[in-house]
Amino acid sequence: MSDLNRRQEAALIECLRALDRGESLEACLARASEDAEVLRPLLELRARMQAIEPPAPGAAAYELARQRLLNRVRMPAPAEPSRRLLPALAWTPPALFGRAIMAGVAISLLAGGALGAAAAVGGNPVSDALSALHIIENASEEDVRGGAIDGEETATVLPDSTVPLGPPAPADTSRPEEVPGVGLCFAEDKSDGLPEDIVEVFPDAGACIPEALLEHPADAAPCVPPDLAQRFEQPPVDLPVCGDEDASPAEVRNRR
Amino acid sequence: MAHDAVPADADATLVERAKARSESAWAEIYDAHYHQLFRYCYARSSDEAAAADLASRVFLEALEGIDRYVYRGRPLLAWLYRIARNLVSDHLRARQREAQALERAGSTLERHEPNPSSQVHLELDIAGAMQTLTEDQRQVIALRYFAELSTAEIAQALRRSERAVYSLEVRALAAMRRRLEPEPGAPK
Repeated sequence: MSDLNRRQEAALIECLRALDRGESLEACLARASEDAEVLRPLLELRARMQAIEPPAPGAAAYELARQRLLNRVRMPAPAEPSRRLLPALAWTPPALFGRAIMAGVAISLLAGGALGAAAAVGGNPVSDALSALHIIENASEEDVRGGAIDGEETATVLPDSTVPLGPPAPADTSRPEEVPGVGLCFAEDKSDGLPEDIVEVFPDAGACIPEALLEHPADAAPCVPPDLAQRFEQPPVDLPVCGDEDASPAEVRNRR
Repeated sequence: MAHDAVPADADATLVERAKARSESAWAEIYDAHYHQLFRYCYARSSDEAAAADLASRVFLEALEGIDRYVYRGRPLLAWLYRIARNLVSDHLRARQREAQALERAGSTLERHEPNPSSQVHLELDIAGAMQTLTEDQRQVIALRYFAELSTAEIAQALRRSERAVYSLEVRALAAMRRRLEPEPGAPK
């Protein structure tokens, strides 16, 4: 929420662009004279924040971390078990479309309808909404096991596949499951078929569409990441493309 | 303090060398990006020690994941930033759980607080004001004013348009000002 009206917001954005180009604050305010009284304090706050020198990392910490990294680089790379449990044909465009639909449905739920309905009954709106479509199960943190790299805890990984989650159903490793704190994760590594830019791949966990992607962006309409819109034969959902809010996924795809 | 940007074509070569586990490549990546990532982690955690640890872990995670990383013209920093963002989120959640556990236990120990010796007055106020922002607004503020990325770099890191980044920054500034300089009689 902002106290600025649309004109003031637009004027302030233009001021920020101008300042980034090297113009002076006064020159910018002169162009937006009717809003100068509102914009000036914000621009002065910005200037004060820019003047703050963030702390620099300690030299010892810097060198220690550097050595630690290089020591790890020198270690022989661990042999990776094959994660390609499905034939490559599983990721032909028609199959990709099915996968994209599941991911896209999760995104589309944030557009309002199902999310609002789920929110009305309380609980976690994303989980509730997705559960209603039997896409995810309500995995608790006790259901996940932690991965480790050199004894350090990493991000949470998939629930134990031997523990049934939610209503009994045939095991379907093609469906993603929600992993709290991570996102929607496939049981098997699907990273070859999904855009790298939106896929986080965790060791032993397959491919996950990050939780951040599933969040309703408070400052903009829900949107589809450009890579997702461009990689699939049909856009997964009828939402604007992130960063190109005026275009639908189909329009962005057709431009290419 | 501007960072030394790595040209896009240099990034492509660097990624290939990093995949081959070249020590010099990883040293270059570290030297080029550590300070930015540290400042980003500091902006989010308000804790120098945590920021140093998190920044260090970004590179270790990147080393683990480099074989799966495919360079597509986006700056390497954008990928490192995403790793940092996830690590910071995990850290903040763990810190919150710890604080809640202490509270439930009726602990008289103080909650984790930023190291006051390392912050000036305005920094403390900014850290508090950032808590009132949305997640996306916090990202923009942390990347702009702490990691000192340009608008174009922030747009790449957040996968948004430059206009969207400016819009987030504008709203963040307005919200922070309300917190830092409230109108008389207005609730803080």
